Amino acid sequence: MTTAQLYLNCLPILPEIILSAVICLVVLLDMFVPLGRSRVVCGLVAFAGTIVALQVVINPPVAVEAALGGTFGGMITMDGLSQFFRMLFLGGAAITIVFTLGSVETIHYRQGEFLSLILGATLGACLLVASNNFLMFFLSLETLSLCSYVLAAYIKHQRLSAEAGLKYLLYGAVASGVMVFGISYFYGMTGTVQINGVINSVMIASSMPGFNVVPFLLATVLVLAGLGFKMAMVPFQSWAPDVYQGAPTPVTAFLSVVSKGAGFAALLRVTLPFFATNATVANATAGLAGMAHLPVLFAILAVATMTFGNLVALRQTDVKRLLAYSSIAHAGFLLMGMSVFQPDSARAIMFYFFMYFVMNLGAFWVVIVVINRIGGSDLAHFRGLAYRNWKLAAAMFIFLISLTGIPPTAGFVAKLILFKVVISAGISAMQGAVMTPASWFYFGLAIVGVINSAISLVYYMKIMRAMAFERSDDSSRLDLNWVEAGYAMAFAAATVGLLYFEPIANLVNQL
Amino acid sequence: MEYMIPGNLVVAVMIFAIGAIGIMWRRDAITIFMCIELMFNAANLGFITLAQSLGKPEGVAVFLFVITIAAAEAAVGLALFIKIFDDRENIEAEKLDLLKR
Amino acid sequence: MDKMLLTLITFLPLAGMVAVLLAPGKAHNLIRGIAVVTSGVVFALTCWLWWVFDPTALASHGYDARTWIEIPWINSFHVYYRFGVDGLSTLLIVMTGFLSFLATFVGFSVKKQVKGFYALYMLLMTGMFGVFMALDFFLFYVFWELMLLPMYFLIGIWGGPRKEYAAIKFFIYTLLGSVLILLVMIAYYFQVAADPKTADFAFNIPWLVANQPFHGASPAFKHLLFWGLFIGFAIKVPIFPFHTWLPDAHVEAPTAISVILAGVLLKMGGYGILRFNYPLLPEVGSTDWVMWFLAVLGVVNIIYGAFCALGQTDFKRLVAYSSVSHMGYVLLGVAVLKEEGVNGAIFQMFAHGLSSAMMFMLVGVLYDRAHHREIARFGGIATQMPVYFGLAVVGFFASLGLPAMVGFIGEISVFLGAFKYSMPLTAFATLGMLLTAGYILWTMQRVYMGNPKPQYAEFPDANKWELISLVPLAATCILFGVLPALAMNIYLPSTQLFLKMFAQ
Repeated sequence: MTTAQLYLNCLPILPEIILSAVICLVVLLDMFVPLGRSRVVCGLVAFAGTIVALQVVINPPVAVEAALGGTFGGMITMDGLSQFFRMLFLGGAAITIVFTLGSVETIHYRQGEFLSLILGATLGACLLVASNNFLMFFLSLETLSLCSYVLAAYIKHQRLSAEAGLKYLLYGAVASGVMVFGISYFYGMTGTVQINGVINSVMIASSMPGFNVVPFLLATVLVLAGLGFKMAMVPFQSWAPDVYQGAPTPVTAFLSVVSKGAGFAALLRVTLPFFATNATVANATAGLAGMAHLPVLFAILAVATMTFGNLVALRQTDVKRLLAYSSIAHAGFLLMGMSVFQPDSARAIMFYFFMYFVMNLGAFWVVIVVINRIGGSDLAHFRGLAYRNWKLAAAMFIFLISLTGIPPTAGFVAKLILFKVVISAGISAMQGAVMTPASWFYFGLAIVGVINSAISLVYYMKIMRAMAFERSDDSSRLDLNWVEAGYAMAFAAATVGLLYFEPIANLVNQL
Repeated sequence: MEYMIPGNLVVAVMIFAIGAIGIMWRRDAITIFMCIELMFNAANLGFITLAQSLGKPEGVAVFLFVITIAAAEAAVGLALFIKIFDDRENIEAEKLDLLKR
Repeated sequence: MDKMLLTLITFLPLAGMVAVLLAPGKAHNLIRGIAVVTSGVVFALTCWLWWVFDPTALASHGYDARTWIEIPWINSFHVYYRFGVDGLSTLLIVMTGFLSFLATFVGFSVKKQVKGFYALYMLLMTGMFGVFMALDFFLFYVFWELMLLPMYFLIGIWGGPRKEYAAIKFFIYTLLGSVLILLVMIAYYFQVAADPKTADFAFNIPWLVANQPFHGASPAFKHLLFWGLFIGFAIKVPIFPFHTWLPDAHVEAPTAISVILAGVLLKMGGYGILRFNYPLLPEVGSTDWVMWFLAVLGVVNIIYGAFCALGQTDFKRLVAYSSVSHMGYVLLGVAVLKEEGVNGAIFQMFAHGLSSAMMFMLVGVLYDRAHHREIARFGGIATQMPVYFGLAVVGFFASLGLPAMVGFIGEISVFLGAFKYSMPLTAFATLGMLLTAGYILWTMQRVYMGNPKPQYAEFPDANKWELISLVPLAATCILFGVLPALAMNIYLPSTQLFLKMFAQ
């Protein structure tokens, strides 16, 4: 490999290279900077590095355009999907770093390690969405996972946190073991670990007569287990509430957007080539073999995930845990988009995820501030918040109605676009004005989604009630510093401002 | 497309099954962890066997990396085990119930 | 400037909200001042709108061309920032400006969390004006929902003893209705956006009305759309089986919010039926059985509301049920699709906005002094509070529909229209007028007449803030009763355009 080739190969992953350099720098700085100052110094360096990497993703060097496609022997691929999600992951990392600096939960530890773990997890997520090889795929997924385990267990003196870490590790290790086994099946069936190679062979084979779909489905389900774990999809969701509750809140916020996003990005990476084919539910119900089973599978998983998340969330009294279940429910909505299997639905998923990203991070920021100032994330700590600090409460109201999907917020447009995709799949499955089983299927899915949104209102309203209609014993005013208030306001403004969703729609449509 | 399924693959499936059943039945976190390692190794066996029978070397490369990852996972896991063992003198998965209500 | 007028009216309250939020929380008088100034300026702007609006020179789409504004907003979803007014909306906008200005003074009786109260109140105003102006379905829906949350908190935080129950009931009912509206909106979107040639009009209300995208659809589907919209709006009106949120919400809400609820929010239901339901699906609206069914439903509303009002012991609850009864006239007037009926329905909305707002204020004045609302415990107030009593007479008689009062014109006009449609039904509906007279006179007798009771002897007469809000209302109640043409002329051409759709 000549220098020029190396240069061309490295340019597309320049953000990841920058990220790796920053990780080393932060770890080194942590050793030499005195403990008192390490928090701010490491935080600023990590933040600046992430922003630089983000900048490179948004405005890629010219040579990247030429290298679009594959680099490193086809290990890495650069396309709209990876650009979009890398942007989100780096943004999420930058925001999490600020969350960390603003949270008291991690204040007693050296920040260097913590920040480098967050950056490491982000590095894994970025490579995961760009990987075009199952080996790379597995390695980056594990980079993300291993960093997340440690992050979840980071508060050493708290048993809750250590337990969360261990639970996360056990579930995660099982999931990745299952996934590797599934990958070995794909390798056996197609003789390659190159993702596009596998997909091509499967597509060719499935169009042949006498194609046996069972081993393919088995391998798919095994790989899906590994990704489903990251996405917190039923039946691989049981770690999520415990980990979300036990982990430090900035980590919870990070897991709920970056880690979950990585799961969906990876899922889209392996399923996207099928979206252009005619693998619709219509074919599945017509009894055709091949990829057509997947939409049905995703629909079942979607319904199970959102219903489970919503129903269990109804009983929760800890806001962090409640948000964990709500994030499971949102994974269900995202999976609903997966069941449509069209390029449009991939766009809708990305669109939804962007909105979810903003409103969910905002909600977690409010939880962080409440933990900082009131000392816990139980519903009781939120009692009377509207009278103690209206800014914080107003921001939380906006996030909650947005998570429910009520206008005028980002959550409303996200759900609108997602349901639009599902319903139009149902309409296009109709033959003239006659309903087919496939159109019933999609309309039914949309109805389940609407009912689930209605259920979610009940538990989000529980938080609203506690904040506005109940009073706490301690009714003193809650004074926030400008970072705490400003950040909450900024997220709230973004949540409302995204009602003008044209830029995001354009961004997603580049896919 | 007819081809012989190598006997090693059957062994691999069996090891995987043993691992999976162990995870569900055993209570002790260390045993669970060993079962997870079994699952990884089942996949490894599969990769090597397939690499040989297909005549393609990628499988061996994957095997090497999976072994490494499994070791890294064990390192993190053992650190957490020690931490929790310090706290409560046992690491039975059932008793990790602080988070459940 | 005219182009900016509608935008200004809608978003000025939002600027007021920001100003209120920036004010220090303890400076109650400053906050109240900001609210009064903002709503005063908005009211002045609505009056200006009334002045520049020329009902005889409507553009081809039926809306005023000078104030019409249309800017592409979200291209990928075909959403436009599209505001426009016709006679119907101008009248309701002016009424909204007037009532929200007066209700600001009524809100002075709110003593706790003044800042939050006025901030949410201003947000509510933006939602109300937006609903009456938006002619893009998406935009309309956003404004429609925008009102929901401030209202929920205004009832739930500043309300009476059962405020939480009332707030949640209001929230759930209204949300249910708006989900139905949303579904119809999505149906239109799919129908129109499927064809690239028409996709850009997917949310364009005048275009949808003019082109009837569902013209060729099966009648069953058209009925589905019609009833989806109807139930969505009927919950707000409220029409008989969906009315149960209203007494709770009205009774528990603070007086200023009751005024807005009765005066403006109920009109949104009527406005929705007139602006969306009938024009979008005229074939369904003019089907024989639908006309019958809705006319009967209107009469049921009139009679049922009046009977319920007759049976109430709580003063405010009585006024709330009188609203149910009065809004029945609106449905009856629209359902018969006669010119007098529709004109009457619109006038009745206007009249009820004035008279019910006044009645709620009157009840509020009494409640502020007595701290209870039981009719049976009052008596002889007339001698203790003569000025207040004089205003009460105007308010209650306006509601009763006494000739030369604002309530009379709407009711009689609706009856004229209904009479052309069916005489027996109209004869039955006039029973409602009798019942109304019954419960209003009986209530006045029990509350204001009789011997003065010693425990009310200390009551001061209406103070200046109460007079500021009551006197203009009393004046308008009489003014528009004597000169109804003042209000009617503005929307007559719009009614004719509306009725043209059913001319076949």
